[in-house]
Formats: sequence, C-alpha cells, structure tokens
Amino acid sequence: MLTSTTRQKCLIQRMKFPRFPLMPLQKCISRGGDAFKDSLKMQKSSIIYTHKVAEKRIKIIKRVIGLEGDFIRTMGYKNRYVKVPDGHFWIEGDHHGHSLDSNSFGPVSVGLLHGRASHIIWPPHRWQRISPALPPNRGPLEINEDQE
Amino acid sequence: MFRGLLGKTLGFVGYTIQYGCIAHCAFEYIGEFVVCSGPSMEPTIVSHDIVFSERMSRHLYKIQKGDIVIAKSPYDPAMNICKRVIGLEGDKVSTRSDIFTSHTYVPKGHVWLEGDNLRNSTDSRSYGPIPYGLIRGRVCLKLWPPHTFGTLGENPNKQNVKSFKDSD
Repeated sequence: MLTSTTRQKCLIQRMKFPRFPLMPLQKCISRGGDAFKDSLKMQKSSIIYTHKVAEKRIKIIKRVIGLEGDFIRTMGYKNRYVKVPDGHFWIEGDHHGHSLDSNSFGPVSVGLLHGRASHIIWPPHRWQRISPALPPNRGPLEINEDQE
Repeated sequence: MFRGLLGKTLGFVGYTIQYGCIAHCAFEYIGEFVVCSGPSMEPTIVSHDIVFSERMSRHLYKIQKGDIVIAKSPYDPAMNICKRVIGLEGDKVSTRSDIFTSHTYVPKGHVWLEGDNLRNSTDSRSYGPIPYGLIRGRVCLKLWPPHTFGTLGENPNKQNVKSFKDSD
C-alpha cells in the first residue's frame, strides 16, 4: 500500500510532517483552497488529522463531515442515522469503501484531534492548499427545513 | 545610547523566546503541574490538591492498570478529567450500576477509567471506554498540601478490581 504514488506529505497546522498512505484522500487533493479556522471551531468539510481510535500508535487523516449536534446519514454503520454527540465529530475518508472512518468506528472525540491539514507539499508538482469542501450528497441532514 | 537600548531589547526578546521554547518542551514531554478540583478522586486526591503529572509514560505507552491519569474529557475537549485506569484494552470490566452488574470487554486502543469515589464520579461507567489518545499524562506525585507530599495511594476499591481479575 505504501508505494510512492499513494504517499503524500501534508503540512499540518502544527508544522509536523507526517507521511500517509493516502488512499482515502485521492479525490480531495485535486480541489482548490480555503482559509484556516481555529482547530476547536472546526469547519465542516475541512481535512483533519486525528489519532486512530482503535490503534493508539497510528494517526489517520480524514475529512470532517459533521460537527456535534448534526444528524448524519451513515454508510454501513450499525445505525442508519446518527446524531453526533457533544464534543465529537463525524469523519470520513474521501474514497468511500476504501476508508476506515466513522462509518466503522463511530463518532470521534474532538480531544483526539491533532491538527488540520492545510497544504500538500510533496510531491512538488501537486503543491497546493487543501480545500474544505464537502463531497456531493454527504454532510449533515437539514433538520430545520423538515420542521418548517 | 540608542543602539545599546535596542541591543538590550533584542537580547531580552531572544531570551524570552528561548526560555519559552524550553518551558514548552518541558511541559509537553516531561510533565506539568495540575490543580485538581472535584470530588471524583476522593480520598486519594481531594479538591485543590496540586499534583505533578508526567508525560513520558503516555508517550512510551507505559500506562498500566491502577495508574491515575489526566485525560481530556471525551465530551468536552477543553476540560480535563483525573481518573484511575481500571482496565486496559482486552480486559474484562464490570459496569456497575445501582440495580444490576454487567461485564464488558475494553475494545482495542481504549482504556477504562473510574474515579476512586465511585458514588460521586462521572467516568467510564457512564460514557464507556475512552480512547488512549485522550490521555495526557500519568499522575506520579502529590505536591500540595505539604503533609500529604509523596506518591499516591493504592486504589481504595481494590476488592472490586480483584473480583473481576479472578473471574477472568
């Protein structure tokens, strides 16, 4: 899995330079850019970097799909719809079906967050910002519209 | 005169940055002082005690059963909790409630935390096992008040721990 084509380096906000097998992020890297937000007020759809929940030595990089209080339509989780609890968020990889994300281990605590991936710095020809953009048809369900 | 003042100011700023970096690394990798509040760890730690929590055993994955740890609260990342590790991954723990007792296994990469004051503690019995990544440090010394200076005591609810060790 760790071939040179699937490897990327991302500049994490805390100036660490981790290296990832980037299967789940193949799509996001070809998008544009957006501004940085405070790590606790994490913007929906930004790409973040957290501890893997089930594996204490491994870190993962995923896209934030929902923040606390959001209703999420899950894909393959034990419940069809999930309300993200307080202090948690719902994270998913961009390559659905090849990503071990909240659809398998559930919502992730915000305390596990390490930083927000803002740039790709390696390889040089793909040097760019990573855009916060939700994948089509993903994201929290609009509860208010249903009530009105 | 002016150049001397400028040089002194720059030197002062330089020293400030230098010592700031040293202090940051020390707090990040060696340990930090924590003021505890709340009743959940009585009688081992009472409110307003000052303890020293070391970070090395968390970085080296040396957290063991019976250690007291400082962790981030899973429902509020701005808040820290201070609890005792009752079970590591794969251990069988009992989830006691007032009416009945049931057993669960701690999943991989998680720990089971409980306060010493079982009647007045919000811990893993209410929110389940917490991920290892939330642990910030292991409490190793009690510094204040001075008459209780020293290492921390054993778990006062030890018979509970033993009873589910035997049942393994």
